[in-house]
Amino acid sequence: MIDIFSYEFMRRAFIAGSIISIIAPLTGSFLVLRRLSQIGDTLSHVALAGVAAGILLGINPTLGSIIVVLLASFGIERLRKTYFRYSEISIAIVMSAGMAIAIILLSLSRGGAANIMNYLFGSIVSVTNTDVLLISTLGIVVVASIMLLYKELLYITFDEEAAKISGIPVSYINFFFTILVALTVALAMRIVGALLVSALMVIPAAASLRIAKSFKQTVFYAILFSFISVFSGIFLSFYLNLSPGGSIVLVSLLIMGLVSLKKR
Amino acid sequence: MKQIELKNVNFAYDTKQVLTNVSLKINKSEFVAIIGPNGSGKSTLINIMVGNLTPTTGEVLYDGVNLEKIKNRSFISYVPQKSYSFNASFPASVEEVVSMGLYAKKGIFKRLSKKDWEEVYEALRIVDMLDYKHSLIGRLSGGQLQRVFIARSLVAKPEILFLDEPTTGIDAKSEKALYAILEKLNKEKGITIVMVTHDVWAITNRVSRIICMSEGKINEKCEAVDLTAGELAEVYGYPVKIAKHHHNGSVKND
Ligand SMILES: Nc1ncnc2c1ncn2[C@@H]1O[C@H](COP(=O)(O)OP(=O)(O)OP(=O)(O)O)[C@@H](O)[C@H]1O
Ligand SMILES: [Mg+2]
Repeated sequence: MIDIFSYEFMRRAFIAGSIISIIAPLTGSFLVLRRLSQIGDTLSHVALAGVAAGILLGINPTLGSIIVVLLASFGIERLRKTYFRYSEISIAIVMSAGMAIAIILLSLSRGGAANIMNYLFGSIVSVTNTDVLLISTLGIVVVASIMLLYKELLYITFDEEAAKISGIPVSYINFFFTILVALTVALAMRIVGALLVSALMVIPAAASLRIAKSFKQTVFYAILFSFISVFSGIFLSFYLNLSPGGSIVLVSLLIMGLVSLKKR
Repeated sequence: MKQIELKNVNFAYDTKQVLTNVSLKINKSEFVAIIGPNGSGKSTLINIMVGNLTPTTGEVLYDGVNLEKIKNRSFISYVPQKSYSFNASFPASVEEVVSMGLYAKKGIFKRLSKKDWEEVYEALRIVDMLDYKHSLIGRLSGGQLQRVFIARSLVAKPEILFLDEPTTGIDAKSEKALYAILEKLNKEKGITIVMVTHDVWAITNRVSRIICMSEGKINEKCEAVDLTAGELAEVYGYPVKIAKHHHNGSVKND
C-alpha cells in the first residue's frame, strides 16, 4: 500500500477535511431541526457563481465563493422579510440567480469549465495552501461562534416564538447564523463538492437523530458520523480513485443505514 | 411589590375590537383565575398583561410604571395557551428544555454554571419531574409536558406567573396535581398567579379571586369566589350546569 500521508496534497486534504467534517454537521444539525435544510443547497449553487468569478478574475476561487455566498446570505435575509410567509420563494430566487450567474461567468472564461468541476464534485488533489489557510481560519470562526451562541441557537431552534418572548435577540442571531451557514457551505464545497455539500450537513444529523437522547448528543453524534465519513471517504477516494464528495456521502449514508437498524 | 394595574385598556386586532375599557388591579401574591367563554378575550388580556400585545389605548402598569418602559421583564413569566409550538420529535432532553428558561436572564455568550443547573433541578423537583430530567421531551405525556413548561417558566424565579389554560388535555389526576403545585407556589413562595381556565369548580376553592370576561369586558358581578350557576350563566351567556359527575366539573354547555 502507498503511504497516503507521504503526499503533501493528502496532508492538506486531511487537514481541510477534518475541519469541514466538524463545521458541516455543526451548522447542519440546527438547519435540519429548523427544517431549513434547503438553504445549504441554495447557497452551494450560489457559491458556484463565486468560484466562476474567482476563476475569471484570477483570484482564489474559494475566496470568491466565500464573498459571493456572504452577499447571497444578506440577499436571502432581505427577501425573507419581503416574502415573509413564503420563505421558500426567496430560496428559489437566490438559487436561480446563483446558477445563472455561474453559467454566464463560466462561458466568459475559457478553460474555466474544467476547473469548476473540482468545485462541483469536490477534489482532494487540487486543495491549495491558501485553501487550507482559509478553511482553518474561518472554520475556527464558525466553531467558536456556534459555541458562544449555542444556548440561544438551541432555544430558537426549539421554539422561535418562545425564545423571542423570553427576550433573546432572535432576528440578530438568525441573521448571524445565516452567515455561518454561508461560510460553512463555501468552505465545505472545496472537498465535498457543491452538489453534495448539503448532504454532509444533513445526513449525519439525520442519522444522529435516531439515537440521540438530548440536543447535545445530537450535535455530538452528527460530528462523529461526519468525521468518520469524511476520513473514510478521503481514503476511499485516494485508493480507488473515486470522487471524494461521492465517497464521503456514500459512507455517511451507510452509517445512517446502520444507525437506523438500532432501536432508540 | 409588583402590583399589576390595567387602566381603561382597549385593544383591537386590526378592526376587530376585542377588549373594551378593561380596568383591573391584581395585588402581590394573589391567585387569580380568569374565566369566560371562547373568544371573550382572555388570551388577549393575558398577552396585554405580559407585554406581547400593546393596548390600542389605556395603560398596563407594574407598581405604577408603564410596562412599555420596563426593559427587564424577567419578573414576569408566561406559559401560553399552546405552549408547545415545537415539533414533538425534537431531540431535546427535559433538563435542556427547562434550562431554556434561564437563557435570556443569563445573557448572550454566557454558559450555564453549576448553580444554574441546580436551579433547573430545583424547578423540576417542584413540579415533580426530576426523575425525567434525562428523558426526551417527545416521550412525555401531555400533563408531564405541561409540568415541564411550568418548570421552564419557574426556573428564572419570576414574581408573577401567567398561565393560559394550563390543564387542557390533561387527565383529572394530573390536573389536580398541577393545581396543587400552583397553590403551593402561591402560598409558600408568594408568587402571584394569573391563570385562564374553564375548570371553574376545580379552582374555586384554590384561587383568591375570579375575573369573568364576556365579550371583551370584565363582568363586575362575579369577582367573588362563590359563584352560583345563575351568575355563571350570565357570564357565559347560556345556562351553565355544574357537571358534578364529570371528573373536574368543567363548565359545559348543555
Ligand atoms: N391574532 C388574531 N388576529 C385577529 N383576531 C384575533 C387574533 N387572536 C384572537 N382574535 C380574536 O379575538 C377574540 C378574542 O380572542 P382570545 O383568544 O383572546 O379569546 P379567549 O377568551 O382566549 O378564547 P378561548 O377560550 O377560545 O381561548 C376572538 O374573537 C378571536 O377571534
Ligand atoms: Mg384563549
